[in-house]
Formats: sequence, C-alpha cells, structure tokens
Amino acid sequence: MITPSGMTRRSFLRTLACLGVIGSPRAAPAWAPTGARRSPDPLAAKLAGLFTHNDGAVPVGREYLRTVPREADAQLLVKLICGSSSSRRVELVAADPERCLEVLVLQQREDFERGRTVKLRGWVLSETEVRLCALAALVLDHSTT
Amino acid sequence: MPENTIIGTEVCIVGAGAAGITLAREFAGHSFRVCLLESGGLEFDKETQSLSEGETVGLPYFPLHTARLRYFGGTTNHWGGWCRPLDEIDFEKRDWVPHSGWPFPRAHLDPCYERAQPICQLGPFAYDAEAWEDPPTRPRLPFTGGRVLTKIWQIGPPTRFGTEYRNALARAANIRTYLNANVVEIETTRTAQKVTRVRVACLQGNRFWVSAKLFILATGGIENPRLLLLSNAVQRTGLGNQNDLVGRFFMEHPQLWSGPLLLSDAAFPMTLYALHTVTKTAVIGCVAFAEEVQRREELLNACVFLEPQPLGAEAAPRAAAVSRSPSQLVRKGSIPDGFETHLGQVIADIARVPMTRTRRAAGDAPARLIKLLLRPEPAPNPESRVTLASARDRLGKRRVRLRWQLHDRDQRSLSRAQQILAEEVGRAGLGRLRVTRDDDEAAPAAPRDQAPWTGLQGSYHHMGTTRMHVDPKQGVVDVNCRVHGISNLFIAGSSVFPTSGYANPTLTIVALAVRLADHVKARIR
Repeated sequence: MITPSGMTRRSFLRTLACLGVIGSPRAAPAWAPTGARRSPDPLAAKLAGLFTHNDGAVPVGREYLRTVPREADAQLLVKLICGSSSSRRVELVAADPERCLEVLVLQQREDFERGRTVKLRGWVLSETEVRLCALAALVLDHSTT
Repeated sequence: MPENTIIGTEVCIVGAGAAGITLAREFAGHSFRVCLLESGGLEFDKETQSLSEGETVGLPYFPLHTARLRYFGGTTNHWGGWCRPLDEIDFEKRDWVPHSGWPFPRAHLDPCYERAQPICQLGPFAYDAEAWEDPPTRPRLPFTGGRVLTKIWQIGPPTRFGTEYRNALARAANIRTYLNANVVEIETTRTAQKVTRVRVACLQGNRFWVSAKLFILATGGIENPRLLLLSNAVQRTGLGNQNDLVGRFFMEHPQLWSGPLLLSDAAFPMTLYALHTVTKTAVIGCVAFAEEVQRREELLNACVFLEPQPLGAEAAPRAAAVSRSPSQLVRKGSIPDGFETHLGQVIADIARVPMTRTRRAAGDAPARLIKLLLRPEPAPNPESRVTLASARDRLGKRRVRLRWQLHDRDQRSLSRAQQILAEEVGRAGLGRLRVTRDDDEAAPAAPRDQAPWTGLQGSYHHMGTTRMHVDPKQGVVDVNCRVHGISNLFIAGSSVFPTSGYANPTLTIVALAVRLADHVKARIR
C-alpha cells in the first residue's frame, strides 16, 4: 500500500508506532456498543491520544456519550470527525500529532462558524472537540470497565 | 402659597428630574415665563417618597417607591451616570418586532445627542470602539465573524441634575421653581382638546393651580401615565387615553447574569471591557450584536457586559480559575466543579496550537473565567402596563399597579443571541461560553413559565407608557411629543420611547428634552 504522502504501509505503521499512537488501547467499557469493543481503528487511537490532559478529555467525552449514546462507537466517531470526505481521513492518518491537531482546530473553528455545536451542561462546544473527547473516553477510559 | 391661588405662566413643566431640568435650562433667559413644579424638596423626604408607592404584579419588580426619587433632580440623585445613545436599528420599524419604529431615524436625533453630552458631563459624542481602543493596551476582543462587535458606553460623574443646575435655574429671571408641589390633576376644556390648568397639592394641605399656555409632563415612565389616567374628569378613561394606550407598553431593561465565559488566554488584556478613563472620559466596553445579524436572525437588540472574576481568597472558589492554567488548577484542586475543570483542560489542549506559536513565553495556556451580564432590549408589549390601583396615596389619589411582562419573543431572542455569542467566542478561539438562559438548566426548580427569567432584575428604567407614534391609534404622543388630540400638552422623558434598545435611557431622555425645548421655543415665540 502506498499512502498519499508516498510512505509505504510498513514505514507508515512504523511511524505511528514511534509516535506511540498505536499499541494496545484499553478495551472499551462494557456498556459501549459493539463498535467500541472492536479492535480500534488506528486513527481512533491516534485522535484519542491528541490530548495532553486525558483526565480532562475523558470525563467530557463520557458526558457527551451519556447525552448521545448512539455515538459510543470509535469507528463511527472517527467517521463523524472526518466527515464524508475521505481526504480528511487520509490527511489525519498521515499527519504528525501537531499537524493533526492544527487540522482539527481549524475544523473545530469551522464548527463554531457553521453552528455545528453541542451543548454539554450548558457549555457550547464544537462537535469535533466533543467527539475527540468521546474517542478518548472510549479508547482510553478504564474507569468504567 | 394661599389656598387656591392661580399662578399664571407661559410654560408649566411638571417634574424636575433629568427631563424637566433640561427643559428648564433650555428655556432660561428667554422672554416667556416658566413654572417648574417639583413634588419633593431639595432633599429626600420619606413622606413625599411614599407618594410613589404602588402595587406590582407580573414579573418580580422593585418596590415602586424605591425605583424613583421624588425630590429636586429626580432620579439623577442616585443614578450611575451610564450613557449611550440608542443604536440606529433601535429607531427602525423592524418587521420582526411588533410595535417597533420611531417616527424619525437616529440621525435626526444626533444633533440633540451631541448637545446632551455636555449636559450629562460626558466626553465627545463617540461610541464606536475604534474611538476608544488602543490595540497594545486596550484591544478589542478579536471576533472574526462580523456577528458580534464591541461598543462603548460613557459614564458621567454622574451628573446630579438638581445640584449641578440648581444655581443656573435660580439665576434665570424667567424661571420659577416650586418645591413640594404635587400635580394631582390636569384640567382641560370641555372637549379635552386643551389643558387649562393643573391642580397642585402639598402634603402640608394647601392646594393651588397653575395655568399656562403650554404644559409639559416630565414625571417619569410611571407617574406620567398615572397623571393622565387620574385626570379623567372629561375623558373618562383618562387624558390622551381614547385609544387605551396610556400606561401600556411598559418597558424595563432586564438584566440577567449568565455564562461564564472561559477565556482561554488569561493574558488577554480586558481593559477595554472594564471601567477605565481615556482622556478624562470614563468609558466601558460591551459586546453587542451587529445590525446585520439582528436583521438576519430576527433578534431584538442586546448587549453583554463582561465581568472578570476577582482574584483572591474572597472570591468564590470557582473564581480561583482566573490566574492559573487549567492543568495547574486541577493539580491544586481549585475548581470545585469537576466538569468545568475537565473542560478547561480540553480547551487548553485545543488552544495550544496558536498559543505555542504566538505566546511561547506565556507557557501553558492559562484560562480565565468571566461572568456575563446580559442586557437585552425588551420587545414592546401592550400587556406590560401601568394601571390605577384602588389604594390611594396621602393626597387621595389612586396609586399605580405595575404589571411588568416580557414576551416569548424576548426569551427566544435572548437564547439565540447567547448561542451566537458562544459560537463567535469559539470561532475566534477566545474560549468557550456556557449558556445558562435557554433551557431547563436555567432553573429546574422554578415554575415553567418563569424559569427563563429566574434571577432577572430590572434596571430601574421605566419606558414606553406614553409611546410616540404619528398615528393616534398606535401612540399617545405625536412626533413632537404632544399628546394626540390635546393642543398644548406635551410629555418629556422615557415614557415616550416606542422602543428602548439596550442603552440606559438618560442620554436619550436629555436629547429628547433638548429637541422638545427647541419645538416649544419655536412655538411659543
């Protein structure tokens, strides 16, 4: 497989491994639907690992999933974050974490611009950022298992 | 004053507050005589003040006798001096705001606003942020979407009209001021097309009359309609009330705390949004909504004051968030609400991209909590009204009953405005906003119909009860503030406002008084 950036699959996976974004994410909580218990999408793990403060992202994500339980599926969340365009997924897969965050911050700003927001406990948040938190909750959370 | 004395004059002004004193000042030195009647004396008097007592129903409101001051200078004796003209859009007829529209545009009133500035001891007639910001030290919040913007208020000393202008009025040979003089009735001809004289009563017991060519009521948004309703000897429903409009459309500026705003960059200087002085003029910035977005979204006007939470131990625990980064706060356990702690961390994480590039020296992205004070424009509402109660005051006159009401439209507009502000805050990367006024979170324990307004306060602004409109079926006074159908009775003050915007009314009251004075001078000449 050749990625758009010209990397081979092997070198791409090696890069991800070096970045620590793939490995052995914890099992999804028992309450999570099937999708969350499947082997996580590498991109899901990568996106879930973008937060420096997982102890902040996880509870916010958990709150979001409590409000919107139908999204408690890592693959679905990745799909929703990337949108219908496959190029966004490819871009995020290829990007280093810093660049990945830059792309998602732009998307998050666009969410606010276009009214793609969610209200959690009264806070108006972008769909992208709460889904990233939800991913963190699904992939990294072990408090509920 | 001997009983039943009749004082003759050309112009009789009833009420010596901001409007009445401004009118009298404008008339000083002219060839016609002016009689200025003030209910109180030169100092506060409890008995006189009790004449303002009344009933309140509807939304919770201040006791009425605490909402106005009844002595020379009127309510300017305790106002805060906050001034801002109404916006251009406030004067327009807006299809989405029933009963909106002044008979003239803002530009028509601008020359009078300019003349009102020195009367209220303010700086130049400049209220756009550009005139007051200084990007390095007093920058505007960098909103990027064009939907919200910064506007400026000026704050006067504040001007105590009674103290400030007493000597000037005393020096004017053509002006005679009568204190402790309560107008209790307006007498008209048999057809009620002309006022002949007003009946004045003193708490000491004596009564007298003032006859004049022209009368101006300037007693405020509650007493103006009260006096018209009390004067029902000829027109049984009250003077000028042939279309059942007197006392209706009572408007007050609601004030509600909301937020907070979690500002992602605590280093951002908020100076422009705090009370500060620029070239001897005290100013403060607020966030407001662009006229274009008001039209597109069919919003009422509104502004938002930003109040950074204080530092220090005396502050509420949540306010400790002001100076430290969210991660520091978590380590210290300073934010009691877990969810806000976690959210602060998320915002800090997401904000780190621009922060690391532009503010490396600042280190981790600090956050700051800012409370919001919402000041929406109330929609004109005919069911919000002043009527006469059955109880009577010491002079034997019926007291008022105030029913302050807001409309569903007010609630919808406020909710949408907050959502827009939240989106613009996020879009500009300034932080995140908590919206607390649009759903059951606002006050789950409150009765459903009152929940959106829990915590609501008025602003002591009484407006709209003798509204201005060219059509007698839609307004009590005409474009010149003359009561429809009565040739020589005028009204000054905020009771003539058809709509009220969000700005405090005093500057507009003074501007309208200047304008009315010009009209009267031309007419009496």
